[in-house]
Amino acid sequence: MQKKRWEASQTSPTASASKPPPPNIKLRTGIVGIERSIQEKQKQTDESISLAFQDLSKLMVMAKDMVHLSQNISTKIREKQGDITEDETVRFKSYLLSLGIEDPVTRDAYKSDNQYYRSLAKQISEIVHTPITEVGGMMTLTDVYCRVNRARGLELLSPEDLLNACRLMESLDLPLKLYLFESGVMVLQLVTLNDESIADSTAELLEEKGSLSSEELAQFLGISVMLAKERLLTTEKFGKSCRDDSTEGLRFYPNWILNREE
Amino acid sequence: MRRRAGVGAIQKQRLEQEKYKDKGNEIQENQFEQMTKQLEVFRVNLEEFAAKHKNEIRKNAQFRKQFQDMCASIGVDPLASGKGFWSVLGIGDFYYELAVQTVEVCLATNYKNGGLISLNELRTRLIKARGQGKQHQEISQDDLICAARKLKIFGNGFSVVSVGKGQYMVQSVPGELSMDHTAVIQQVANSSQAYTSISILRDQLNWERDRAQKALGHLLKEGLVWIDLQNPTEKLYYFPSLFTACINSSN
Repeated sequence: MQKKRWEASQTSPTASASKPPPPNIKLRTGIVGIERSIQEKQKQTDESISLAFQDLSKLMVMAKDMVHLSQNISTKIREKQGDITEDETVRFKSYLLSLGIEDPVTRDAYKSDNQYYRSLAKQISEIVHTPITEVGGMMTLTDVYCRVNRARGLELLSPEDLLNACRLMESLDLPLKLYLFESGVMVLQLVTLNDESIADSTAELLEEKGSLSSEELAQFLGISVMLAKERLLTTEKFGKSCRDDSTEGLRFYPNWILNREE
Repeated sequence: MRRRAGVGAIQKQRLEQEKYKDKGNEIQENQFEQMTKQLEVFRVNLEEFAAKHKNEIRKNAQFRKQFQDMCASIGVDPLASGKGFWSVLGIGDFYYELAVQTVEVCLATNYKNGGLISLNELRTRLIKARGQGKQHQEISQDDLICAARKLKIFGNGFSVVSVGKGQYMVQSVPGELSMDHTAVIQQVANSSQAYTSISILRDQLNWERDRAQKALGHLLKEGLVWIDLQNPTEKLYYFPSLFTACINSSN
């Protein structure tokens, strides 16, 4: 009898091992219940993320194809093979910009028949014209970017959008234009501003004050240190100032070498 | 057929070349039309993807990073234009606004750290500024790096500098940070203090006196370090941009 029971109990574990476990785990309350529901949620999140990654991968394969195709077309345009029309080239460039594909084809002067950037240029000019005038006629693009996006609130501009629009300003006869300093700093400035007048007025200030550092000039004019530095550099370029470069910083003096008589 | 010489053969060759050229054009025209068609299909798929996963992108920083990384690897920038193809995903505003706020924080802290701020401090300040609530999204380090890098095209010197051990600094003023300068910042960032000195650099980085002097001199000139002349042994150089990190770090 014992043996039989023993045998019976021996067979049952194996029997249940081959049977699949009951599908529904009874929901329990208490900590175990909470843990279980967290696990369930995590599982669902994981599933949805992995589904999202799958969809993402499929999307990227498609995108990659288009990038290759665009590279072929771009090469043909640059080597002037075949008859790709002017119109098609323009459309192609706008595809590249829209997809965010870096390509030498888009780097040259952007055609001004893009309606979006033209109206953007006008909008930007309206927003920052007065502020720029108030700070002395010049504002860094970083500054402009912040102001314009703050003004818009929604549907913000990307830095590239801003740059492309600003590039068009001069050709659209707007009161502002894009200017690139040798250092690489980009500003929007009033078209009425020119280098020489900046150099002259800064040179006068130097005579008055004896010498100036970027910080001092910035404070005096109420502009950023970076722009003050650019003004001082411009003045130096015109030969109206001399620099004194030390660990205490960069200072500029009126150009006594040329101006003072010995 | 016997290959012919003479005018006839030349003309025939020319004809064939013409045919090939036309075929070439044909193939290439097909390429452009092909692209136009593919773009349409892609647009539909992208919109479907956006409808299903827009939320995921918004909430999940890791998914965002994955997305950005994949785009970068195939050569597209989904943030290149606010009005571009990818705008249907609705992540543009998130990053562009982050960029604006980054500029503001950098400007506000510039006077004390000289234009160099640790990514951690930047992130802390941003989260505080953005406030809880709203649709408070998780801002990851990668999000900030992405936003900060976009500002580079303005030529104002915005750049993200790696200082090792997964730490980053954001530089917001133009000025060359050479590898030596980065090494100094790295050394300080990884130590438990916010200062360094010539002897520390000689000891830790195995540099000669002149090399250490030159690097520290430049950083001093750029306003990225403050000098402490009161130490009896030697001059100490403090990084204000690393003070907060010092306080917040666990060691």
